[in-house]
Amino acid sequence: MSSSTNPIDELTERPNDKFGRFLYDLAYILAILGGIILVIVILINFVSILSRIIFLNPLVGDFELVEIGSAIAISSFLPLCHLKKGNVIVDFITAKLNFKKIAFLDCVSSVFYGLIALFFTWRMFFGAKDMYNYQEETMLLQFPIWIPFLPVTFSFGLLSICCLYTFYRELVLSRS
Amino acid sequence: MDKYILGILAFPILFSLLAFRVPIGLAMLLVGCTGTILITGWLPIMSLAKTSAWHLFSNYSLSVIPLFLLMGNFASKAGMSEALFKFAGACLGHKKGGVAMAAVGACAGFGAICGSSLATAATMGKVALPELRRLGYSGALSTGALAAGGTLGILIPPSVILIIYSILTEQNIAKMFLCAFIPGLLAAIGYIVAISLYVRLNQDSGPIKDRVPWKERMYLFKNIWHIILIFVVMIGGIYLGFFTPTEGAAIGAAGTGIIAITNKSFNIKSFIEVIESTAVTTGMIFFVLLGAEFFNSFIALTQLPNLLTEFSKENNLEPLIVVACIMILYLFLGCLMDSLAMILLTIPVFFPLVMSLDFGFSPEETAIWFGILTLVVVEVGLITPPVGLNVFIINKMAKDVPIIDTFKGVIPFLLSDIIRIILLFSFPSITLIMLWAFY
Repeated sequence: MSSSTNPIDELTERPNDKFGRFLYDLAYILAILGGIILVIVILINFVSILSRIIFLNPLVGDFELVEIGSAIAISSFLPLCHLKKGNVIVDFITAKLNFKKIAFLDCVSSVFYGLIALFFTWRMFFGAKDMYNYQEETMLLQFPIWIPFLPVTFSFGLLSICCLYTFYRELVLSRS
Repeated sequence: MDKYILGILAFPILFSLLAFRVPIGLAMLLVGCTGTILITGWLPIMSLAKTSAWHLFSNYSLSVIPLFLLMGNFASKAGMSEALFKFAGACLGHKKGGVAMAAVGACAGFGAICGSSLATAATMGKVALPELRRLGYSGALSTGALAAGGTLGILIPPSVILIIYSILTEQNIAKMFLCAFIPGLLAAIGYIVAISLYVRLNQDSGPIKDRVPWKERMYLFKNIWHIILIFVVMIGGIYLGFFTPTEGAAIGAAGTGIIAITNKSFNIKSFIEVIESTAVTTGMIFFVLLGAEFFNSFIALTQLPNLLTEFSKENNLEPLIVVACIMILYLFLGCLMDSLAMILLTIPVFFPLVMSLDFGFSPEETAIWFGILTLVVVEVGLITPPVGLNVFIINKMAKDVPIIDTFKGVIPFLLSDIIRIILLFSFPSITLIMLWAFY
């Protein structure tokens, strides 16, 4: 565990350069939109429970709406989680290292994370295309799945850019 | 290369990645993808990556997690921790060490509407720590009690870890929550007993307050009845099968959200903070889940779990000894690892093994008993050195208490944990009695 004035922890603050600020704000806005979708998911659940009590049958396709909403919300949280260093790490052997070495280790992680996220974005883009070509739909509402697939893919795209950006910042810090 | 060797090698490689600060989810993804590519070539990974994230994130059972996290974060902003602590203080404050007991009791109450240990420790710490220190409680006792009390967040349902265990092992979440209830209460009682013994051994560590009259207690109760209402509606509805866990979580989140919004100090900034902390924790959990999906499908490909099961069958291992060994391994791993990652990493390997053993229970009973036992044991890792996260969270708040004091203060609670683990291990009926009573 590092103290709060550590240069490593400062990386989770809003950066000073223009691109970094833009990226940081974008990740924030995306997460808040995701949060609003989560609130909508709560409302859907409510409407479904109420309609079960009042009309004795549930809202048609409530499960599907909850699933779609959750998928969009959860993926929208990933970029912010990375920028805020929310991902769990085992900080035990490396706790005593100085901040430059830690920044170097973190930049290696970031570049791998960025590459994996990029790989997912690329594959999911084709996943969405498959869904579109085969006209995959949800069971009850017959809602085309490729539509919610796009924001999820977008979140992974933003995630990969965020990872590559933190890679750059951590690399700079490790050489300061 | 031989599949088994690949599977066995995967674990040391994973652990060395973790030692170099690679996030757990990323390490599992990297090892899982590389391993799968080595066994089956590129194609399966290429097509798996197209939809696996979508299928995981849109899994209905998992959608309960962000909702429970949202509920806990709203609860932190709703002043509920303060109300709970005041009420518990009025009931227990006149006892020796009573305010520390009240902190544990309030943690238990908060745990009933929060599924995460870290959030419980952080929220209760903010409220109870200054009060404990002001009343002259020793640094060791006050930080130790709160760090241990925080683990009640996950031991008392709802509990994120239990949800993930249920999904991994295809068990009924409602039954799992039901059976976690008595072990969770036992934990709270055990901690309170630990405090009362501690203050008797260390005379000046916990002063006494005046007894609070019943009238005032009832008055303070007015501030917490809605917490009880939310818990009863949410958990009751889930137990009775009236709602799905996701719907229950939605009701809980809405309830705590409404209470938070009606709180005077709540504004748009606090709403953004609630979303932010929900986002960061949800993102973290689902990234670990995504990593685990790839890692576990790789481990399944290596057929390592089958090997382990066959090994135990051929050697006629004593079932209880196998479980005891697993628990000891968990205690050890818990010192180094996060509890969620531990469950995700080990359950796919150990669960088939445990289910192949005969304990004289039905498969469902075995699965529940083993799950609760695992939950209790991995949570001990939150308060053991060197990386007990709860200890660090609380210690960061108490600037004047050295970390070594906090770890010393945790010892009585650790002892109570060990006794509870032995009890739950030796008497499975403590866990299963609720199942038998209700189903």
